[in-house]
Amino acid sequence: MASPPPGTPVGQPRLSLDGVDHLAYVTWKPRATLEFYTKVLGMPLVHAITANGWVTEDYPDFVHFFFDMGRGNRIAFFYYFGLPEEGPQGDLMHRSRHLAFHVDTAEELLDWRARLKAHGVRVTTPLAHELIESIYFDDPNGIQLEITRPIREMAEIDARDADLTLRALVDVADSPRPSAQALWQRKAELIRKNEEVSGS
Amino acid sequence: MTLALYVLDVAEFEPLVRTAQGAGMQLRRTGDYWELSSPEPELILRREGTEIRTALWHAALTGGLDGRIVSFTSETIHLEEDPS
Repeated sequence: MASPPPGTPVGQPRLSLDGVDHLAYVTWKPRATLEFYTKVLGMPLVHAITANGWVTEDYPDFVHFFFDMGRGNRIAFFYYFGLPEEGPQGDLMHRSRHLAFHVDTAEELLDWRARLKAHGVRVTTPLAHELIESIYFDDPNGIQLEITRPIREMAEIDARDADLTLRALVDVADSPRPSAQALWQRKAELIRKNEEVSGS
Repeated sequence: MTLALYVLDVAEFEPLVRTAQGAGMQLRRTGDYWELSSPEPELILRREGTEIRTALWHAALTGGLDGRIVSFTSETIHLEEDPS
């Protein structure tokens, strides 16, 4: 019997999550958000609920509304009445906390870039990473969005490599001075250990 | 002491393997990786003329490093044997 792929939970019955139901953000700009998601990104508005507070007494009155991202996945926003607007987050966190949508081909990526530009959205040129190519832009709330297409499909070799990288990371992250160099050195050790095991 | 780097055997890293070989590193297969070892205790990889894209260049050591980094810029990766 084949061993489970790296990262597979062990000792549990077959229980798996089935994709994203919805992802929720907060908006202070409902008009711009509605126009952007329906007209620019072409996502249908599929549900909205309005409520007088919620779980706790100080919970503000709100509107919670949902757009269909495709494949049955939804992106949702809360609009809270009377909630002071938060300042913008730092650049690193802005780049890091992003949402990436999938398309299949380079042609679709370029078509989306043209569409965004036609709507006056500032969008990057396509940027090739290791196995994906992406364009980046912001929604009206300053949430960084990405549209990405695969350059090649992920394969088992990627999962095995990821397993070694994360084993090295957790070792290094617990050390007094974590660094990328320490991770790369630890990963090399793990690769050599694997070789000794498989070669013995 | 050795100076070696490990490169996952996937298509996007092939230019890196060629660049490392061009810099004099010796190639050996180990598991899912190419082990590129340097006959010299010090080595400089240069991006110019390699067609390696920026994102990939900055991920060049993601497979693992046996040695230490002297400097790592957008154009060169300077490595040496780990003295420890």
